[in-house]
Amino acid sequence: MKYLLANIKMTLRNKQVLFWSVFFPIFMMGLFGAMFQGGDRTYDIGMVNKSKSETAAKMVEALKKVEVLKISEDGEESEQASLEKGERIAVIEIPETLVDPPKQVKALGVPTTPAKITPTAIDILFNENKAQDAEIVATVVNQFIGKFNQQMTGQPETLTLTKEAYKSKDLKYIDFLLPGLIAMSLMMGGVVGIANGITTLRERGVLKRLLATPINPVNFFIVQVITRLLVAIMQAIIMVAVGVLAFGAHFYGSILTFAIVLTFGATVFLIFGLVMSSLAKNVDTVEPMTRAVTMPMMFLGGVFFPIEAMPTWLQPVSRALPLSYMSDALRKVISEGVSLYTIRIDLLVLLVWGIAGFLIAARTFKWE
Amino acid sequence: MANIIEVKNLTKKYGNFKAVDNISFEVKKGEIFGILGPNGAGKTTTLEMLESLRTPTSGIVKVLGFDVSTNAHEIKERIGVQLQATAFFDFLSCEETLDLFGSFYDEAQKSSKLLEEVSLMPKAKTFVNDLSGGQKQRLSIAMALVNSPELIFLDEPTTGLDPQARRNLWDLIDAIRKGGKTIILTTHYMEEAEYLCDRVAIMDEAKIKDIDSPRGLIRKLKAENKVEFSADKKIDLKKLEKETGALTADYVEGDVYSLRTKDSHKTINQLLEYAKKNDIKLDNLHISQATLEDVFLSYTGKSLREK
Repeated sequence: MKYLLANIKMTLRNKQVLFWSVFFPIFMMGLFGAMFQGGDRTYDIGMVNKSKSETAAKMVEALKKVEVLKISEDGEESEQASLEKGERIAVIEIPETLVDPPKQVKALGVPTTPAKITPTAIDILFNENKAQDAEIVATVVNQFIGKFNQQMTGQPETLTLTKEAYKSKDLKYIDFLLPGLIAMSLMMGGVVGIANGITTLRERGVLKRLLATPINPVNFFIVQVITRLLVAIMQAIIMVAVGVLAFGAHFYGSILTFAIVLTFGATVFLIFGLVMSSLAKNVDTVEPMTRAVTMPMMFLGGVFFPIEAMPTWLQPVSRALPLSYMSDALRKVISEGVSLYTIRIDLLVLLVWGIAGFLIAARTFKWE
Repeated sequence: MANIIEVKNLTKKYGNFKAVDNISFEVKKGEIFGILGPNGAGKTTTLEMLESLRTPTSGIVKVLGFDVSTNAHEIKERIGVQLQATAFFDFLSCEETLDLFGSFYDEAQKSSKLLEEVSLMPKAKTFVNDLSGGQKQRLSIAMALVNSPELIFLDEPTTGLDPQARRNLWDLIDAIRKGGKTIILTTHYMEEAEYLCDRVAIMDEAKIKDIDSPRGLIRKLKAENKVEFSADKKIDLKKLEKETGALTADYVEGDVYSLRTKDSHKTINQLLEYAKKNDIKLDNLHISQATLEDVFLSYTGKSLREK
């Protein structure tokens, strides 16, 4: 227990750790946030409006005003062909069945209940190769439709609707970036922090000195892991706070789910750090080793841009990296608010990586 | 007097390499026992087997009555250890370091008392990184005392220190022994072994060559005195040896020669005579008593000092 407190103290006093785990990711957020500010990428959407209703027309009109969406209306067949060719991320189809809600009759002093409207399904066809983009579009459109519905049934003021529509440009690049950066900083903090930390302790003979005391070696690992997890949580809190407050990112997820995914992923990366420190001879070799692992992951792991935006031949590589799954899981939790069950595949892949790492570390760890 | 450590036929092999080769010795309660030898002699490996940090390949090691291979935990609870590299955590003060290490033991002394003992009280709040070499060594000795051990292991406690700091540390180690503790230390400094140790084991190439008190070892030496001088001409060593009746004649460096002899009076007379006859100018002539250095030389045929 005393060791845990002392270890936390040591970690917090280490400015290098603080730099890499807190300031570096925030710096990246600022850099990339600024780089893509305003110049948000646009998403090509096909629009097929089969409904002749006024509502549908208004909706199309409003959607066109959403900046991130580039909407084309070239007819059903041509749009679907474009979708297949990958020129569209999604095609939205408004069916004929969508009709205007019946006009409310205003009786004197007596408010009438609005007529019941049968909900109409609006189809969104995705290009599966661009699933991640499509998800962003789907979220934008979903929110849009939600707000639109509210507007249509509640107050029929189309003016506020268009205002809302502008606002509903909700998921910006920062919303993509923030979860990715959190995943990245967990990886950096975990892999680099643990690997450097333990290798340094070993090289200085501190590990051996600990072995010369009656301490149970397992406690050493427990202390290291708990300390790093606390750092990871602190990191995440700071980053979410900065992301939301300073860069206008959105946090739709449940805090609990977020915390669980965070802890889980951080542990996997800690194990990676342990593996690195086990395989490295000394501090001089551990640094290039961790860099060789973290740098490619940083760029291929879907942190700064979607995996789908990468050359096709590189995509399978990305899909094997644990960071891809971690950033994907965090992204879904933070900006879509999904449950653990939805991201079970991500968690499973991370678990497999974690177990593999643990086995290697357990076999190769040395105290001196 | 009871033996605190008993080592019998201890061997440690790494593959085919024998780091420690069939050594046996005992350490008595209350003494300072030194293991003297050059780097790579097997001193540290021996010490680490006694500290239960390494498993012996064969042989029996009993520390405080416990067997190292079965009762490592009991031993670790009762011994104090200072490793060769001063191993500290970064970003902890002296006080915090001692408190932390104290927490690893069932019972521990107060950090303030320990700091007092090694005269580091003014540095209690100083980060370990900001200590001087001598202060670090004293802190690591304080760490070895944290559980009030009966037996303390010091692995080259003064290596890399300046003479003043070394002298301070010797006084500290002496004071600890006077407090009733048994100390076993390794060193490659002759003066250190002579000054501190009650008994010394001479170790070279994985074997123990001899064990005795420093004086006893010197007395056993064939030559008890050393005559050193410089000459303005080159002298043949063989000839010098013969003419002066010395046991050995060696170059020390440049024009400085060294003779080992049992009878310094005779050797000096003959040396002066030889110099006169050959018109050699002698300078810096001095006689000194043989030291452990000479003992070591005679046992191993090589000098202890790192070249």
